Amino acid sequence: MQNKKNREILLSHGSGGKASKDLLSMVYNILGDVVINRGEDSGLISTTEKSAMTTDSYVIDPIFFAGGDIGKLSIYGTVNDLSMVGAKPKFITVSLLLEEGFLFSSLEKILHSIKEAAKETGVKIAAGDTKVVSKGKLDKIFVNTAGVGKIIHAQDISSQNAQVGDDIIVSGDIGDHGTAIMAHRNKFESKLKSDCASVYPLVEKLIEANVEIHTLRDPTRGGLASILNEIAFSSRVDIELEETKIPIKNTVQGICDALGIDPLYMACEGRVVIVSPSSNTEKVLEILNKEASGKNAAHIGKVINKSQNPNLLLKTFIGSRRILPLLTREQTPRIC
Amino acid sequence: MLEKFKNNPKLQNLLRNIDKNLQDILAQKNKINIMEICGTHTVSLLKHGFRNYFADRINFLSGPGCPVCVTSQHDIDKVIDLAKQGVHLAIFGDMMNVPGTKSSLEKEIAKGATVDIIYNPLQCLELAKNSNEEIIFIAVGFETTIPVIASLVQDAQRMELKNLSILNLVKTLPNILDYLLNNLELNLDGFICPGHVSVIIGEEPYKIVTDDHNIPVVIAGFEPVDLTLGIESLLNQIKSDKPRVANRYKRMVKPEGNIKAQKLIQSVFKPADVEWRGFGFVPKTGLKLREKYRQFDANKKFDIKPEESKNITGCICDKIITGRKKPLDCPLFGTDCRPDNPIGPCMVSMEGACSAYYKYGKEK
Repeated sequence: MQNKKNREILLSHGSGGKASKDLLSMVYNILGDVVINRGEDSGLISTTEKSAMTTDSYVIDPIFFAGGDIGKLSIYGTVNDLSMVGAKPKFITVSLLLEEGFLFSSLEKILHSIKEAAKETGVKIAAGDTKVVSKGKLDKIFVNTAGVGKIIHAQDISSQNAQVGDDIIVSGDIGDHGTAIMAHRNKFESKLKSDCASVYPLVEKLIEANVEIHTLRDPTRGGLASILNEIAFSSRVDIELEETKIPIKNTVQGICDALGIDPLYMACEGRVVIVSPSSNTEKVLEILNKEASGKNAAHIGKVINKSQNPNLLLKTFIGSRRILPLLTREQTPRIC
Repeated sequence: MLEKFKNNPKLQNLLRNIDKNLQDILAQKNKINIMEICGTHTVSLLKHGFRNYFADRINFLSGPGCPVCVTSQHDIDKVIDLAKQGVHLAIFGDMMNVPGTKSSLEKEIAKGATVDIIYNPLQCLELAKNSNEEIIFIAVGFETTIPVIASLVQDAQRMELKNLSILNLVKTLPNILDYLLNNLELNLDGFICPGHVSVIIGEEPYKIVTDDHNIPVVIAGFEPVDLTLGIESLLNQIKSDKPRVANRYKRMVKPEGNIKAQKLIQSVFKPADVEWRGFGFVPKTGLKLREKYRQFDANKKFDIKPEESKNITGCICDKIITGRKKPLDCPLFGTDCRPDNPIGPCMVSMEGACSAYYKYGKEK
């Protein structure tokens, strides 16, 4: 008999039999009232409004990190993807893929995080699944979530809609998440935390204030420089950023410098990039700066012209200009 | 602290002074050739926009300062040959994709070779302690990295580790500059010397450049303000025709360097003639293990016999790291040779000139 602390997920927990039932009741117990539609093969939801749907899988290593864990990330990540089209997150599904031998205690922690994040963001878990695979077939735990949200505006918010004259605004310091993970992996001692959070409240405030928004993107994988490259490409425009205006924590810059990597390409998990006509910029910043999660929001650049060969440009500290390209490979630490 | 050297309001004034100085100098001569030796400087000059800023005024040439790039083809082939022998290699990440004559570490891993990427050579101690396998650290690097490699060797002896050795490919800096100036017609007007290496060796060793060749030297850091101050100093020296070793990285570099680290290096290594990509064998530009540490020399411990090494057809990395050519002069650059499909070492290493040009150097 395993003691409670070291109790592990076994293959039988995925068998459909008694052990599966036990696992499921534990899941239900922890998640409580954020779960709707218990025990049916499909969950029923009703939507008559224009809705958005998205899905994402979470395979982060380490699964627990400063500022969050895979549970929190899997809710916020999907909620944020819905927010990027101006949708209010309503329903979410949660699939847990577990490696045989994974600790129940870790799973419990992750489920508590999922519940908290769901409560905070107001999404209901409408369906879910658990699977167990034999040891070594996956790494500890993977989570997939899919979300449905209600569109709360009548605008055209799209990566293809950045227009000449628009300003680029970011809601806070960039690169915290990716850098915190790299710091952890390289055993750096730092107080840096992931920025892992829902950006929906910020988006909602902007939409409620009737701000004209052309593009919203959360700079996750590949960071600020990658998503702005995508926007430039999709909208067929050149975008110019000003290095002096981009908010980066000194700790983030320091760790990135030590590892020889560029914070402009480091993932954020709780930031949003807003592309909006420059006449709105003051208003946008005023709205964002009022919120704790938007207090470091900054106007960092602009859409400068239409282009058949779109580029993201950086006006550097010395006032020179260079291209910020798409990365061709993962950033790896330097050797001298 | 960092902020002060990146985003400083004084930068614009400094640049205006430089622009004025440049105008005076360029009234007398056509172009100014400055060589940056360190790969990190190559990256910084591009990343912060210095090359674009000085485009038609200063010609920046990359020098022999990227540890992976200066490693000879024969030495790369030796590393790959070791990987084939079923030993456990520990390497810096940039070594992974360097193409050998017939294979690369990446390809050998796919066939089952064991290669670990490490960030600090001392990680090898743990690897060796917890393993029955032969662990070999591929020791590339300049004076910045050599003290840690020396520590590794000393610790390995103290811990009586029998299964750890190093394939020693380290290089040392100042004499290669003398060799370069004696053997190539580059018309250099100044050197930006590496901040990190200088932390260890100090100012004195560069006098070989100022005193014997009458060429200005500045030791500089890597942030925008550091490089601006460095360029300012070189231009002042060029204008007054009074070459000296200027130190513009005083927050890190002491005139005498780090004596403790120098002694550590000397206690484990002695000077040696070593082979460089692009130069061949150059007297006293590398180090070999002292006799009492010979049991840690992978060359002695293993029979390393790669097949005949050949330089890669069409690749001009050897000319790029000696300042004779630039990445954009290479017909393979950006077409056949890219970071995701590197043909030569300068495109592999993050500090390599080609990789830096590919990433930051495209102009708009």
